[in-house]
Amino acid sequence: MKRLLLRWSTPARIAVVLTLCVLTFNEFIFARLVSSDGVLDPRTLWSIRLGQAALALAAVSLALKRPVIIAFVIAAASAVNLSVFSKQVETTITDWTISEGPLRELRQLLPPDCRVGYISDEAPWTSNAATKRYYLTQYALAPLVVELGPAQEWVVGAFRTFDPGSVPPDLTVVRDFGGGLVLFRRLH
Amino acid sequence: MTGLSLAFIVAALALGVFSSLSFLWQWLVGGASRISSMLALVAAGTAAVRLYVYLRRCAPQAPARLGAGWMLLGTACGAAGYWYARLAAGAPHGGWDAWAIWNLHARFLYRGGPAWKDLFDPALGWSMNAYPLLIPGLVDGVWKILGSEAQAVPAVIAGLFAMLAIGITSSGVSAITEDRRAWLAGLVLLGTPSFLLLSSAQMADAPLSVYMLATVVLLRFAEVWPQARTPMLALAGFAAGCAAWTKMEGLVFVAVVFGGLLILAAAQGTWRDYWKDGLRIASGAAPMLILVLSFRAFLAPPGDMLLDSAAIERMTTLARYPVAASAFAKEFAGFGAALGGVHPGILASLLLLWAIGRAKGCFSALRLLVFPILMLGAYFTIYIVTPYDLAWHLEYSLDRLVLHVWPAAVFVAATVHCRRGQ
Repeated sequence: MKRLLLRWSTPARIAVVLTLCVLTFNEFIFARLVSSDGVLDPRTLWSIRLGQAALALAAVSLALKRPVIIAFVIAAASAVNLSVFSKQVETTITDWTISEGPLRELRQLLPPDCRVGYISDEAPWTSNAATKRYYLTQYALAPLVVELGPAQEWVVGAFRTFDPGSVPPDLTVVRDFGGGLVLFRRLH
Repeated sequence: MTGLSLAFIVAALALGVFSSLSFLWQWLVGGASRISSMLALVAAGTAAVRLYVYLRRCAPQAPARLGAGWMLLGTACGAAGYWYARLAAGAPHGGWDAWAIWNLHARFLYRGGPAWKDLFDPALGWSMNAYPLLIPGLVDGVWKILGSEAQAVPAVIAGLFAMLAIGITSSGVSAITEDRRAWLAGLVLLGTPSFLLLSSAQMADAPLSVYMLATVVLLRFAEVWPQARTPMLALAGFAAGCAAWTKMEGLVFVAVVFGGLLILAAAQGTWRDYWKDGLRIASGAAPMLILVLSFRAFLAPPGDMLLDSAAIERMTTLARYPVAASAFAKEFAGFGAALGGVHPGILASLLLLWAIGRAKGCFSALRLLVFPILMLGAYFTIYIVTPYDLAWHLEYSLDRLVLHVWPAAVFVAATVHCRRGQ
């Protein structure tokens, strides 16, 4: 491998290889590799064009023996990629935002060393929203352990729509926080 | 830049020491408090300063040459830092896995008091409660020192690790090559949008990539600085141990380090060196490995990856291989491209070409590629034996796993071509 690299490490030869790379780094190959339906996102197409431009400039740089062009290409491409990151920030904030809001209040009502049950009208892991509701309840109530089912004395209900008729009859509502969040206590 | 690169590496290791001391106090002594965390911080800080002074004496001094390139890297860091801060302010709990796993575990350690071991309750299996605790221990330690559960702490720690990744890469390259590739390597890492997003997600993947990077950099330092070979190899082992205390994949990485060295020794016929170097690395890795193995044996529930008969059956199911291979090919092709911008792989290749175009040299560092390649091979095997649905597992984790080795791969690409004699 080392010998091969040394043999091929003359700038002119690498420039030829890079030119070939520009030709092969194209949307047809990408469509086969990254797209299930053969159609590419406009962002991916733009990314391919930028990649081809970077490789072409690198080939020119090596052919002219001016490595500074490569340094310029890396710096410019990094600036482009940083702007891509900056554009992702707002979307990511929307995706990642969670609110513990009423769960904090609920936590104050629970005894410090109990286990808490969890019921919902949509079982966790059946949808992203249902999973998020369960995980968020555990996150907010830690270090109390929140276990699935109504077996504990204290039970948290996190519903899309709260229907009192669907709750086991031995659970009484301690407080309805609104938004489908309800704290129950088992009657002894 | 030798001093700076050593400072960044020692800082990363000190974070690992602080986290483990805080956790050990909570586990073995009990009743961890602000004072115990302060003591852990002082111990880690003092050890770090002494280690840094010792390493500065061992390693050759290379004068720092700051120019326009470094200013450009600084400006790019500032811009990335601004957007990072906006993201952290807008989503202080981090990505889904951050609050469902890492920050949740930190809350158990901090809020739990004597009941912190409830973290390992079987009801919490979905939060991966068998995972090691470097990041939760670190967050918990800082919360205890501050005396409050400041939500900014996990975000600041995540930012610190992102900074360490860029710092170790660029200053590490500078210490070896002493040319423009150093700040260019930093720019390549900053120009990887998925790496920046992963770092801001507050998950343990970015810190894991920092410890893998530190291991590879220290192994390279051990090659180019024979006078400092022993401490560099021991520290490489310690960094690999920190990786094992960060995430389960870190334990695989420790095996990869020894496996990689074995392959290199077999290729070069240097068996005697292998045993000597292996012993030095093992002595460095031992403290963290003892901690991780004790944690696994006495505290954590069994992990989700078991090498049982079902796993062997999955391994012999040939249909799984093309599915995993195709997902890997897709990930490499779309790495960065999915978000737009220039493919970071192209930038890393240009980094290699920059040096080749300039001067004749040698490719002595090429052998270090064995570590990222072996690591990716190990990940491929893990996907083959995974008990989860293969397509689901690949979709939700492969992008992160590829990023684990990315900083180390950039470092190797930047230092592969070096002056003769190195």
